[in-house]
Amino acid sequence: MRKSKLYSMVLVALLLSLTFSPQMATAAEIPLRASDYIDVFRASAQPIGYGLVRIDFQIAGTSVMNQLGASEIQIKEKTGASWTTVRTYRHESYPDLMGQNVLRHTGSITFPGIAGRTYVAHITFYAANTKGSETQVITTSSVTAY
Amino acid sequence: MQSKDQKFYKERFAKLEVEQLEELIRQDCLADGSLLNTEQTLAILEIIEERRPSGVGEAEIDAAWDSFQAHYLPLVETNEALYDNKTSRTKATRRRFVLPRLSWVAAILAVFILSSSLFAYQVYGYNVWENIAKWTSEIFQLKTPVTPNGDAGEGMFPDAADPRLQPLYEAMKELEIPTTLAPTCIPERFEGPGIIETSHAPFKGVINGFILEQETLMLSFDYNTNADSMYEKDDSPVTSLRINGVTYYFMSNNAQNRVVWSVDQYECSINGTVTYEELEQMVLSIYER
Repeated sequence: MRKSKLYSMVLVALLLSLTFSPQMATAAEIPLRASDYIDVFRASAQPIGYGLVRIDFQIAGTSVMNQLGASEIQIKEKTGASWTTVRTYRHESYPDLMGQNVLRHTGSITFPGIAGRTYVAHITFYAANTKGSETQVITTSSVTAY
Repeated sequence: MQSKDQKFYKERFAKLEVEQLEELIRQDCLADGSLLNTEQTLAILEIIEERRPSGVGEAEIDAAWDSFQAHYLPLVETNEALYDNKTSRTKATRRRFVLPRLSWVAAILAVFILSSSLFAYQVYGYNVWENIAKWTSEIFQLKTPVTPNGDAGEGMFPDAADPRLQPLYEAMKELEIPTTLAPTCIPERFEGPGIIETSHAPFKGVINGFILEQETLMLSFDYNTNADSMYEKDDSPVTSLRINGVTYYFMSNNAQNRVVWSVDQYECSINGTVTYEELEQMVLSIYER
């Protein structure tokens, strides 16, 4: 009886998936969020030895932007099953995080971590011109310092 | 040079096993350095290094010391903690106890949905294994493997036929990015020479921008890295065009249209206030030399 119940559930699942497969083939429906200010962005985290973790990023605007870069970078450390913010870099204190009147801006920070610990960087990108501004947030892949 | 005290302590600690010496160091760390003085600590470390050599060379020790002085010591001098005082904990993931029967069903359901999605992709003409690209309604992501930077052969750096593109071609040559990747012409309304910005490792590449009052055209050519590029886009569908084994992805980001493609170790894009037809013309011009 138990087996037949499992088989019938599997059959229902199969029928459901075939029914909804056209929808599955299209893009997932997520609220509209294009950008009039940001064209493309990328970021990476890399352990470089001696406990250090290097965070690199690049952002391109949709045109020349008065301000373009990272307004904030949060370094988060893995503690058990959660992530704890251990250090925050803001462009007010680290001016190289932000470019002025550029099409594209590239920046990096080197975080003095602790060997053996796992980190991610939570980066808030920012682009602004005379018409307005926009932000976008990205989290890098996790890396373990060595 | 060892101090007299250090020699004395070394003779005393030499009677202990390495494990006992390591335990002493550990206890001293836990006691915030109050158990052992400097000479005692150095004597213990010397004995451990003699009995169990770490294999670390002088050069590496010097490099580690230089790194410490550059990145960690300044924090001490400015009375700054390694970690910010205020730490915020993000929401912990909760463990849920799921009945075994439900997890079985969920796993089977997931497999069927994934396989049917792949089937549907094939039906609609997308070869998911060929083009490692993925997108949602708001982000287009081009994922390409990083390959070693091999030597580009001769004939990979032709000059620009369109003088407006000459600065771009020059910058690409300097960065050793084949100019055969670039279009040979752009819409006439974009007057040259445009803005050129180059960047170096880890994001090595060039961007050329033609900025008019209400119109923009930007061409960018970059080396692939291990960082995936995230292109902003609206919810219009992504279309693709395949030419000479290269897949060109067309998409829109509100008032701008864009084409993105990847060849070998290079990622390329053209975006701006241009129509899809103009983008296609620029793409086709790559092959007209």
